[in-house]
Amino acid sequence: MSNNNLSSADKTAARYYYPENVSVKERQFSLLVGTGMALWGLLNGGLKNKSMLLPLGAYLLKRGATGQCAVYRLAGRSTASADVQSHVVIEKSITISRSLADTYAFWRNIAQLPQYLHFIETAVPLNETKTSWKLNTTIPLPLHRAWTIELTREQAPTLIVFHALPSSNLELRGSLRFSELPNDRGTEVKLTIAYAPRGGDLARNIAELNKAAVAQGVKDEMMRLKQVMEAGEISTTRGQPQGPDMAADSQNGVVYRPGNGVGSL
Amino acid sequence: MKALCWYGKEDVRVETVPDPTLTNPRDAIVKVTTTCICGSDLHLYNGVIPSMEQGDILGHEFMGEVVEVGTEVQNLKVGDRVVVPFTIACGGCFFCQRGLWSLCDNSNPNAAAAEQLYGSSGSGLFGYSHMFGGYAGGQAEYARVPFADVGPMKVPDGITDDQAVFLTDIFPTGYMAAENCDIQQGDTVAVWGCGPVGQFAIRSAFMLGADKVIAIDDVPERLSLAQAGGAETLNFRLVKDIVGVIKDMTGGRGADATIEAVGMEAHGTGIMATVDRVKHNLKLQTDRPTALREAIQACRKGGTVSIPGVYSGFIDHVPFGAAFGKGLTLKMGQTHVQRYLAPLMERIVNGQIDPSFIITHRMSLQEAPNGYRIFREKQDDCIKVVLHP
Repeated sequence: MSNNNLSSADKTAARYYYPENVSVKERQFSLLVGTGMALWGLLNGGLKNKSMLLPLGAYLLKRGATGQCAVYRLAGRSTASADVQSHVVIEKSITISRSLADTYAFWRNIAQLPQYLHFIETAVPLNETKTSWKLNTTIPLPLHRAWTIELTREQAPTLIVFHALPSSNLELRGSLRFSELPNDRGTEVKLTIAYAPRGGDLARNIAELNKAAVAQGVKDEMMRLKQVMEAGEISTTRGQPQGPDMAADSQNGVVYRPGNGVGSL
Repeated sequence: MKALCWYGKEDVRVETVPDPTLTNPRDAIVKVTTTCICGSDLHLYNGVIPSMEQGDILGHEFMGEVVEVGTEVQNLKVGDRVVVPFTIACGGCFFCQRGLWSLCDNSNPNAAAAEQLYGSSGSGLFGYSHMFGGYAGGQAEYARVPFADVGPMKVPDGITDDQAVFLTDIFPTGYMAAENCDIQQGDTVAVWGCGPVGQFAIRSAFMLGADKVIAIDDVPERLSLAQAGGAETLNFRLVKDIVGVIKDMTGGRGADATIEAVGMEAHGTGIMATVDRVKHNLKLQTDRPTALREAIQACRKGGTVSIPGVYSGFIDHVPFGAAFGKGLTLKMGQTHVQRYLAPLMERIVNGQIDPSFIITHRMSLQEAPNGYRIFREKQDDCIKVVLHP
């Protein structure tokens, strides 16, 4: 993001800017404990009984969400990684038992991909390089639904580089690399994406904390495409029979639960 | 339809559930004519396999008549009689193309869960927990069979259900266990566990050229059946020093290959077996490797330890130094059933083996919960229960 189009949230953040000094693990712990303490404080009299739990919980929540700890700052201590990156980076690679040419052609045919994916509903090509994407509304992330993705570089059949246009609330760039393995072992597909929410430190920090879940989601999407290419379909147990759920049975009569799809265990 | 559903430790019930439907283009629906309770189903019954959910339909050994086929299934038609491998495999991935069917990349919809535990996921399995795909099993009137164009095999006329049904799992599993031993003419093979897989391993070892098979168990009727198959038998309740006795029986060398057809719930005797049971009960280890230890100790230098017995988690005090010091080869894993269907069916058709020798009990599906109980308790000389839905 260039400086001249800072959002108001960014400007506010800049005014009170302190470097992050808390590690990701500690931040997750702070969020967890802070939530617990704050809830406990609220449920047990709130501010009335002058419990320290509520303010302490609030402090831990802020510490977890922002990665900044005033106590550490005063003590001159930091557990944050020295090279804090501005973007969350996810790298995933899979191997597909198909030729390089087939694999590239399949992944490059963007408009047909959403029928196999969970997170993306449609991808409509606007011109040679731009595609309009609509995300699935069920994604549990605060993202805009409509995106425009632009291919910035293409070297068929080995490389695709892309980024999201600024209309989205996420700054995103990425690449897909395809490489053929020797002796008919198929093709390696490596996806790298780097993203940062537009909306300041808080949003970025939340994104960092969600990284593992997003990475798994990305891997699952890649697995779906692999399955389509290798097996012609995506394995599923959706809608299969299952005995009545005893817990549900006692309240609502017989309830049959759906099976699992890729990654929805 | 009626199906046998899992509800918890020692709690399986026959429930009415919806009929399965075609979901993917390569599916088929099979009307189950014969299905069996497998020794590995007892691990589920005993509640030691994680990621089971209440209501899961069990059963991975089943055969029947095709009643529906998906649009992409060209090799089967309605009315065909088929046996269905318990391993679900796509046929198109790196592993399937190399005959490693039980390691299929694409048939486990919950691969991520297995990856967290094992690093990578094996194939999906019928009726064997959500970590292995969560597929509804075949102890039911009907079953959905994914990738039906590469898995099921048609049963030739004249071959009965009783003869064919064990091709789904235990015959190929016993056979692969013996094949993994790389048996040379004149070899002695020792087999721990004379349950159904052990019985097929004993007979397969002879088919593959073993000179002598030593079979170890503590259930008299299993030992008799092993003897009937040509094995010399040892009852580990009576023979305390199994390893020493096997060495004595082999001129001090040890068995050329050992087959561990027991798995994670070994019984055994002695201090280590008791320690295992205590740790297992305290959840300090997930599996009890009593038989595995003996199989390593009793194997000769440069020999092979073949492990068809199921393990799911962690084991302690495995004599890895002995395995290293003696230069052993360890082979294990789920059976690549699809690889063995045709060659083993040929042996059945040729009359080299009639797998129905293993059957001791026949029941209706309705009686299945009782079948689990007597099989687990080894009551009534139970070795193999066959169900007819």
